[in-house]
Amino acid sequence: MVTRDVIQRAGLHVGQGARRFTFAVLGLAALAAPVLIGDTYLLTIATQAMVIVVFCLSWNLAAGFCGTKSLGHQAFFGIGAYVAALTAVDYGYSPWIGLIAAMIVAGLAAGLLGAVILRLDTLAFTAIGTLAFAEIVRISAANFKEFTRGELGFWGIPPLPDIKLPFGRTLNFDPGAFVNYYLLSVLIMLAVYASYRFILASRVGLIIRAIRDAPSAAQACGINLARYKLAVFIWGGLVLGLSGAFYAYQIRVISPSSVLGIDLIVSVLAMTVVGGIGTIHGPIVGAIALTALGELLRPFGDWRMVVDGAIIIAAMLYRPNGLLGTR
Amino acid sequence: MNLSASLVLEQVVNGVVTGTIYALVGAGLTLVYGTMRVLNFAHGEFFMLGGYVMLLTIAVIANPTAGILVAAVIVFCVAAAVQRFLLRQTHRNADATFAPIALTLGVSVVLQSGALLVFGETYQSINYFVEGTLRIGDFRIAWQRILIVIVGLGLIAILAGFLRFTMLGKAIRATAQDPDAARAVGVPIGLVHTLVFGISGALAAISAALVSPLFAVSPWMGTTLTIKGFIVTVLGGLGSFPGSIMAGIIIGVAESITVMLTASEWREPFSLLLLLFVLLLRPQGLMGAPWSRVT
Repeated sequence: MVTRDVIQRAGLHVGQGARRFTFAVLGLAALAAPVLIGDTYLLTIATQAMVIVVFCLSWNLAAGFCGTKSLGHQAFFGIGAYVAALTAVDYGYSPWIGLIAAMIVAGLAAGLLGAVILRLDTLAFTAIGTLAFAEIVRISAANFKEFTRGELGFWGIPPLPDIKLPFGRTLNFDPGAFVNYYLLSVLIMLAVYASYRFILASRVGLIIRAIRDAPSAAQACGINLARYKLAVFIWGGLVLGLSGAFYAYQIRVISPSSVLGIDLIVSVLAMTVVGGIGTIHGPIVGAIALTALGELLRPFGDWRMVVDGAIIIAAMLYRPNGLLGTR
Repeated sequence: MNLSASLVLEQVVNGVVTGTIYALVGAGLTLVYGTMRVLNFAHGEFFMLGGYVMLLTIAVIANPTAGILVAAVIVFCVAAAVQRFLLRQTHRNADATFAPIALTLGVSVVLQSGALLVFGETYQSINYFVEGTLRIGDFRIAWQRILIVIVGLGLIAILAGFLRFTMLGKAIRATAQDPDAARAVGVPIGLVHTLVFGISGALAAISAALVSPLFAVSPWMGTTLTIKGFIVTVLGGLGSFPGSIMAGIIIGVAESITVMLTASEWREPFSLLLLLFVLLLRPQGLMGAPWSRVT
């Protein structure tokens, strides 16, 4: 069991080829299901679920694998969403450029914040400092009304433009093109997932686990802790910037509380913790399970937040390492 | 805006009033962090709960003193129960540093959205405990605000004396310094943790009861206060009791000066920015020595 554990921690599957293949097929089938069913409501929820999966993956790499317990990742998502909205509406750039711009700006923000916060390796400072940053961004977005229109919300964000394909065909991204938006969200999720797996399987993946498990030992091996933490943090910023921008173009109305609120990071935390923080697939399982649960609880409306909180508490008490937790 | 001397003085004094509340909230947080190394994200919700208990008690018996006492006792019990039945269990977790944070975040969400369901989306306020204002020339201040400062600072002095001179206070400081050594000499550290959490909750409840005539009581009143409390504790030095009191007053005054010079909506970003600067330049805070040594 011990070696099995070690192998799993190193990011390798135990069951080898066949099992891996089965999971891949099941995963792809699950991703294809909303398209085959074709229900627009299901497609909308599934698109949002993809955005949330990306959020959970990026938070998990920092918090679960690298030990950077950030409570401010929502800032990068929100920065991405606002950069997307501003570049497209106020400056008239194509939303495709907006996606890239959002990624770059959110990545820069992560670099800036990380450079200040990650020098201090105490958990308390990381949690408080990142939360403070995210709150500054949220309140500024609410206050700079001439740019962001404040809490009333930023309306009229254009959808993504169509893509001209060869042979006179176009890939349509009208607001009603639910299937195409869903497929794009799947593409983004898979790209993020691929880079996540790539990082974890690489030497960097081993190093960041070492930073989490034994910071002093890692440092003694000549690892520059702050540099690796910063790299993971910036990766999170880039990913969330992209994801936030996609969200803005898909939903087409954003507000400080919808893309920068503390409740965003609280639900991401709940999902990741339920699925298994610091496990490779835990965040995906948690994100999908709690999104589905949220939809089932929709008739109960206001009780959803109470349930979210209760789930965190229950998970901490009875299943501290999550559904997929091995540690 | 006319920045006359008396107006500036009025703002500074108002800053001291809110600063006293920040100091009380920060003291509660730092007490918990100092003894059990837990960042309590539900602290603001204990504050909010105190506000509601005050509101309900005042509606039954119109006596502010009774209201404050009832709020303190009830929230003490709630906080102690949260520690005893929930927080204590997380020490078994593999990731023992993060589990308490996640747990208190969960408690905070449940309490806040629970209050929203029970009390609704309203802002409620109660009458001043004492009427009238103190006037010295152009300078004016409501007696209610003076009362807040006196009661608040008195409470802090009592708490400091309790920690310094009583047997129980010594047990708390011993647990903060070295839990294993404290246990070895017979301090029931489990009970001490529960007690400290309860005291911290009661402090939050009393501050909420005191300010309920000035701030409206609402389900969201705790969120900003939790964050403010963290700013105060980090600025003062995490775990430093006198540090957080000093930092509370500093933040309160700095905020009212910001409001005077710019606009009220920039108050929060300003103090958050101050926090990031402190983290950048002096992460150990104003008084960074361990809490137990300073007290």
